[in-house]
Amino acid sequence: MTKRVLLYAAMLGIVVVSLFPFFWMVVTSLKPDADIFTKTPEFLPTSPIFDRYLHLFDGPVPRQFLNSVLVAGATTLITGVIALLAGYALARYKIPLRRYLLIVILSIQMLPQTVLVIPLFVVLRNTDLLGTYQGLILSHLALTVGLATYMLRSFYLDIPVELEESAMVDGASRLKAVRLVVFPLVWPGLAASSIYGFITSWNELMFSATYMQQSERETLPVALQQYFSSYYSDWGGVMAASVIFTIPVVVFFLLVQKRLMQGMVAGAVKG
Amino acid sequence: MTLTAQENRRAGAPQRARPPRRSLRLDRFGLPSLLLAPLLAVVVGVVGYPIVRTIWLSFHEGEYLISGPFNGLDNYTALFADPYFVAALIRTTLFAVVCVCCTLLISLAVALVLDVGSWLTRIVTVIVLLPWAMPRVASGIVWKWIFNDQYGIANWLLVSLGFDQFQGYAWFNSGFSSLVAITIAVVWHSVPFIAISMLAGLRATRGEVLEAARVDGANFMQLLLRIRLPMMKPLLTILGVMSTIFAYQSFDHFLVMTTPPGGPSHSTEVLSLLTWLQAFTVLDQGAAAAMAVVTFVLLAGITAVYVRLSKEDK
Amino acid sequence: MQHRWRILTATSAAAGLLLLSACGEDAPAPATGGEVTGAIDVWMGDPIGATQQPVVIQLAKDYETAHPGTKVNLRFLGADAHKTYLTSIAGGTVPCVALIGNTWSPEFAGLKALEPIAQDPASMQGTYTQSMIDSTVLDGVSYAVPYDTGVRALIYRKDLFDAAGLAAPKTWDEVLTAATTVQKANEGVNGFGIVGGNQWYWLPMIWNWGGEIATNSGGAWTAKVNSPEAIAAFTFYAELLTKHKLAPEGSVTWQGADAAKAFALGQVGMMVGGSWDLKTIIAQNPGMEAQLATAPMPSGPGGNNDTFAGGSNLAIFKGCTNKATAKSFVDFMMRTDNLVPVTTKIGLLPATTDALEKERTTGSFSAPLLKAYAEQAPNTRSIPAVSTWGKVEGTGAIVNAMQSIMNGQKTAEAAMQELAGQIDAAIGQQ
Repeated sequence: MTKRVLLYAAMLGIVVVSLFPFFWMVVTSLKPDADIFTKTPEFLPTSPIFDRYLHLFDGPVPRQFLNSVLVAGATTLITGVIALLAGYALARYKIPLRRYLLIVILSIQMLPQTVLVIPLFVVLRNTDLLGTYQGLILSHLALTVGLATYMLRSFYLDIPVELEESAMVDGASRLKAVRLVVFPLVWPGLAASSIYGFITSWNELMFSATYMQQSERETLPVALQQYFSSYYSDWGGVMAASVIFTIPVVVFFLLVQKRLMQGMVAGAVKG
Repeated sequence: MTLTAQENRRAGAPQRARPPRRSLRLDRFGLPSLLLAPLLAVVVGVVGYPIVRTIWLSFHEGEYLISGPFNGLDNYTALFADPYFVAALIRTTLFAVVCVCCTLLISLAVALVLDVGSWLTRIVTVIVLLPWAMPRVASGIVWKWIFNDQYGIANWLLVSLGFDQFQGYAWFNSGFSSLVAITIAVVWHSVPFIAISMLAGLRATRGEVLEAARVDGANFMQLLLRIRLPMMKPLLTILGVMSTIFAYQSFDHFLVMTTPPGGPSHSTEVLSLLTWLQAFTVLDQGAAAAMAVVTFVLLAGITAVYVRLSKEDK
Repeated sequence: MQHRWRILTATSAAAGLLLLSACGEDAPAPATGGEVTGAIDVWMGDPIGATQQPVVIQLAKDYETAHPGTKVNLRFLGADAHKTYLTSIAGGTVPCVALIGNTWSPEFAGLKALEPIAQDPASMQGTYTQSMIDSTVLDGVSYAVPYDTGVRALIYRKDLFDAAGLAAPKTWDEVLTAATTVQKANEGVNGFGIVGGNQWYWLPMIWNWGGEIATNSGGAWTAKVNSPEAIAAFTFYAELLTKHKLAPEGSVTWQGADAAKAFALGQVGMMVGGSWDLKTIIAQNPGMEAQLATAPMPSGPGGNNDTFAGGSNLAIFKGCTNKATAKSFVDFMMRTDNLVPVTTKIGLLPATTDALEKERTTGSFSAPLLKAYAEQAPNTRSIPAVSTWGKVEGTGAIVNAMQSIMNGQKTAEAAMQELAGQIDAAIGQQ
């Protein structure tokens, strides 16, 4: 019995620590200034105000929101396609040096971003892609394709080769067999790598802050960082902006979390 | 790395793991290359080339982000003669060590709690993973507010618990206390992914061996230390490498939480932030590239050590 | 204005607010010839804060209405505007028109990023404030149009000072005694709003103590911040915090907005602040206006109360592909009836003599609370006019020096010696 109590106490602790910053962010954004700047914290807004959100939505936030959706969406899509194809090749073909290729792909994930940020700036400048969606999406691919491919490969490995083979016996070409039999089964893996790609791209700051200098193409992380550096003493407004920035990624996460867990489990078990 | 990939492509003619009974010509030759082509394009174009270019830049002058003449090792000698860079190198490493230890231990504890299982586990698992999804900029801002000297909830809590010295305590005045606050924020952000991966690893250790040991009367700690963790060794290595790299890469939190970034008076400068500022504020891409290369070499070395350690005991 | 970390106001989240107007319809194609048509990017990178953004947005709309076929894409930059400009210059992604801090003008001109405005700056005399014309000049050519100008002065709580029988301090020593008295007499009130994170609030004290930041002889600059006068000035300011504890510990990293916020919350008795800080305080706590008073800056042992001549300039970037529209937009912004509403909202003086006269005599600066700023205006100096000064600002060297003294990491002598080395490395002869 005590063991159960301890367990639930531990779970409660974990939940509180995990959720508190979210809770505090939302609550602060809804409190009037008089309740924010108090020595003893007010845990619930007595008279919540929504003005800050209205002001933000009246400004450039909708535009920045769209920019972020565009960049993160395209990154996710392209990552998905690349990983879907490459993952299959790496799972099914005995390619020479496959082992090394896998190591390369995994080590991309280990690269410090600072190694990429300067030369990519130069490359994008020389190709006139600086400050364009395409440029930023390209730079984000560097961060996402490695793990996504690896994840998908482990999903393909889980699907028995016999399934494809028997389909081919029935007269389907390999491509058709893959399309009809394998892709439906690998779908959870695609979902997992998609959420991974989306979160990575949506949250990425260093590349975005360096490459996206056009007024109209600013994405949310850059805007939030600029906003914070200008109005940091307006904590209520800053928190409201943070909430807007956090909601989409949390919603997306909750929608596909089941698949993501599967993906991570698969990745973890195979090591 | 790039070379490997190219060789790979040129090598072409793949053999299938298990030859199916029927195949097309496309299948035998082109298909795998075709399937790998987009990935290789990205790997070579957006990762491989930039790495080579960074190394090249680090041996050249680069004021105002324009490549200048070759200057040998000047960028490197200047770096290691700069006390602030050396300090940042040491600081980053210490920060990473603390972060990784905290992350792994806390993650293990969380994973063990979730591993016990109850009707709540499912929902708690989702909640645990949630901080990972929160944008780092936003979480940095929230934690900065939590650690605010006058109105922060951290100081209020500490004072309520009887630590009166935290009345109006300014966390971001000194390097050490700033780093404590940042460490908490970074660990909060990196635990979820590691914890859930560990949970998956722990689940995979369930089975006959574990049951047999349990029947033999092994207690919880013995089971964990003698059987389950050793079984998870490859996974733990990867997670160790991952959290080390998370920690070395920490950038957003430092940019958002310290004023001026890396301050007060250089006391929170870490490699990633310093490199970025050197490149895009001081506009000296040569020095910045050299910093990036140092970071890269350091991380590669650490990764190699991890891998070696995990292999030795096998 | 001219600092990396200076932030204007922070009132309600009325901020942001920018580009909705710029969203929606597709931008017209850029003009090919010298026609005033097509889109231009305009960055407001200096002191445009929450309260004045709507005014600027409205001006941009008015401009578009007056010039059909044009489109103004506005972007408001935050505290790291300086870095953003540099990155965009290096990347060739500059805007057409930008509001830049006056200390950045020679630097950007030195990078060959700005379009010359006047080959002979003398031709600008009489139209703009002289100290602001000087800030636009590099090697005898003017590269920007002076937009606004501002100075700092003392802001204090008249009610607290009256209750303690104190008058406005005239010297820094009197500041110390007054602040100590006010702090003792009022529970929960800090004597002085220290702004450790922003050099413009205390760097001029070097002048007050009789020192110099750097001197120029024969075109070569030499740092003078390691002089006894400069060390004494920085020590005095640091000790307001370390020895006399006249502000919360956290003020080591405070910006002007932090001090203004604390002031508005009734927790500060006196601070050095610009007219924009004053506006911020009143905006956050309108009830406090009656208790406020201002006075010119205190003087130091050097016998002067000189402060920094701040301000910003409007510049046209060389990389702009639509210069005709850019020029016409700058002209539009500089019209007295368009300029004054913005500067008034910021709490700064306009930099054109016409508008300045209007503001002083009948405009917002004729109010008693702002008179001190008009009085302070003649007693100003500029920072070294050299294109590489940006490196000193960009690296935060001056702030770092002060913070390391406040934190006790370094002695004042050691910190100032190091700072002198850094300034020499940045602006001295290469």
